[in-house]
Amino acid sequence: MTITVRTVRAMGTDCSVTCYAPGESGQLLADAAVARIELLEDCWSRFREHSELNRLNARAGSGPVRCSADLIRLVATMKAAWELTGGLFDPTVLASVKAAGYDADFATVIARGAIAASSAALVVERAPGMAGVVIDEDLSTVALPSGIGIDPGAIGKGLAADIITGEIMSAGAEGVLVNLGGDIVFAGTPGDDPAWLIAIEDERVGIDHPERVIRQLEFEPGIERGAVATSTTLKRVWGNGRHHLIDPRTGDVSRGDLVQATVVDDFGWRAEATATAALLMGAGRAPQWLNDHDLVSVLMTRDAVIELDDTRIGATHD
Amino acid sequence: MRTQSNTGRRTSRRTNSTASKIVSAGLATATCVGLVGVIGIRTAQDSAAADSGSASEAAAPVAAAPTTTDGYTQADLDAYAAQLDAEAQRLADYRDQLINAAATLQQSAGGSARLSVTDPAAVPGKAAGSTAASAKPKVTKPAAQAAPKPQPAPKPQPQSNTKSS
Repeated sequence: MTITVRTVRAMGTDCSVTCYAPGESGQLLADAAVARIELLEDCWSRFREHSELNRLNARAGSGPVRCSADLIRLVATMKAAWELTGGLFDPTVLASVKAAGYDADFATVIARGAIAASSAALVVERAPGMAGVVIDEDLSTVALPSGIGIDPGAIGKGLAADIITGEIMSAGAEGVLVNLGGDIVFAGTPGDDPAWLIAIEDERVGIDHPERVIRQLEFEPGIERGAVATSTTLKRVWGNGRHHLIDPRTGDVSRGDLVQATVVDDFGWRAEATATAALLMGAGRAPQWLNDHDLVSVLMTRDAVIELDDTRIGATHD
Repeated sequence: MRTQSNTGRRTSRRTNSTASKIVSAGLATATCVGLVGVIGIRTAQDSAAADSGSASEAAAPVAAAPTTTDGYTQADLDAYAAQLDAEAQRLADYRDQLINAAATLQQSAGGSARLSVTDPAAVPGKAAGSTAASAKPKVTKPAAQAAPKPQPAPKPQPQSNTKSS
């Protein structure tokens, strides 16, 4: 058994793939996984002018558009996430995200200083929602209502990690872990190691802080698959306290009291969607909602940690 | 979905008004020019390009390029389809890459490894799955644990959120 790790900068973030497989096959599988990341980014990115997603957005209001299986899967997943979270995870906030100044990859946005220029002109409008998006999997088409643009945001990373993990495992890997900018999905066994370990970092403190790792998740050996996703309002912040998380109920940036939410699920897309929803719900509602959905989570306000562990008991720590 | 553009629509059959007559005369002239152009193509191969150019220009009101309701031409749609096909080919290449890796794995494992490469677009994790989670980790607080730190194998994957949204 060999462990092969590939790291790559993709999807606007740091990505890594760890494969557990005998001999040379681990390297081949890891290379394939990296190639798949590129394929999915090409299809789903809103920052690539000719991506299939941008082509679909450009044809909103023009009826059914033939789409690839990957894009249909993304849109179907976004709709499922929108339904699961009662509309709190809403990819139709694209117009608000752009209005807030986040209309290019984040490095570009910061470099050009456009955020400050747009800070006085934010158009606040409730997101239209996914109800009008029609998916026909038999005909391989998607129809977006006029005026709607969809932004996969982080759910694209979660779903990409799901897809890649499934495909690499189906090719015969003993174990695989895909980490796309903090959206982590793993499956199989981690070689000779006893368990999958995931560290949760506290974005409220500096990267060199001794208590940067605030919790550690240890998954039992033999678990078929798992996923961990974190959403925070403490990263990707620009002028006037703006951040990337738009509240679809208002169209404005989220102003809830939670600043970071980590959720564990079987699938990356669901962990990501529920983490985002938890942030938007706030500390008053999120713990109960997550508990009702049987989800392990670690939530943070500015000065407290709310933990829902496998005993299903919420605890608050300083 | 595909419809004819308004430029190809027939004008009214009523020819009583002056305007209608002018339109009719215009169409007739255009048709004649078109015919002349076609004859020119057939009789003078050397000047085919120039003749056909003027012919098609004059005939444009009669036979416009089909477009969709939102203004896409057949050429746009063909380009879109070609792009989808190219992406499908890249996906097929990726699938071959997976199959190759699986075959190598099977060899190195003495033929006992699984070989179940499926269509990449149809792998597990259907979107609308159950909402029940089964991944139940033990959550620990590192600071509360005795030194040394937890075993580095596998190295804990940092959950630092560096993604774009």
